[in-house]
Amino acid sequence: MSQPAHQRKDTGSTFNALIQVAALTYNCNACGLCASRNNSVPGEGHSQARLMIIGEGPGATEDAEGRPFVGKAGALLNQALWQADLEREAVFITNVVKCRPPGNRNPVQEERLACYPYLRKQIEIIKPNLIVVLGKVAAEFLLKRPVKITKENGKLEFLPSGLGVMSVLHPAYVLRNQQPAIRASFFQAIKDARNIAYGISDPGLHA
Amino acid sequence: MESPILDYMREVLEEHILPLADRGAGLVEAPWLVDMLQKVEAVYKNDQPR
Repeated sequence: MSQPAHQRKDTGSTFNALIQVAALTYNCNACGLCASRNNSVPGEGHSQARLMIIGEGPGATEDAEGRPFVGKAGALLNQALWQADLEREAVFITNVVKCRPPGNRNPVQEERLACYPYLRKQIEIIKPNLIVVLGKVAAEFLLKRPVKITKENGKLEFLPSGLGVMSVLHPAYVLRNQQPAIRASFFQAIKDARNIAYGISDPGLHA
Repeated sequence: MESPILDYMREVLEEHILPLADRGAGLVEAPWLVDMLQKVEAVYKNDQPR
């Protein structure tokens, strides 16, 4: 009996390939961010995830733990995933740059480009159905155009390669604003992304 | 190659079609998926370089 389309097993080859990418980031000195990092943060999740989530760069907590989105913004992202009936382990979460920019500044273009081979390889290995880019920096880097993220939250578009990308508000922005409407639109965008990536309807389990 | 999303959604849709015996047709048990597929296809076609 063939495997249903919505089920994917984590196979050794894709998992090992991601481990190899991660190992390369640990010793990477392609840009100046390596000088101040405690840990590189290559990303984590399912090696054949339907949905890939890409943020801007690690923060202080992520730099300390070597894992993406484990601070307050990560907690909000986890909550949004849970409300969308998605386990964090079922998606793959990473950032445009794998090392923390000092003072949480935005990574400059040279740093983004220096780190891009790792991100490109991760996308090639995982082959996600859909990429969610969190925040303006990640959205503009992937889409290669100016993005007004507050206006374009939840917008789906396709890269010339056919890869689907959805721009979503960064959870840190949602936390800063404390506005119920912004929070609701962030949660809804994650649900919409889940629906498209998995080809399923909104179950309303945790609404 | 078209788009991984569209390939996947069509694959899922296939799983939601109940074959009607001897009629050479099928019953779609997930009309919402047809609707979503059409919307995503429209975005894809719009975003393709001309």
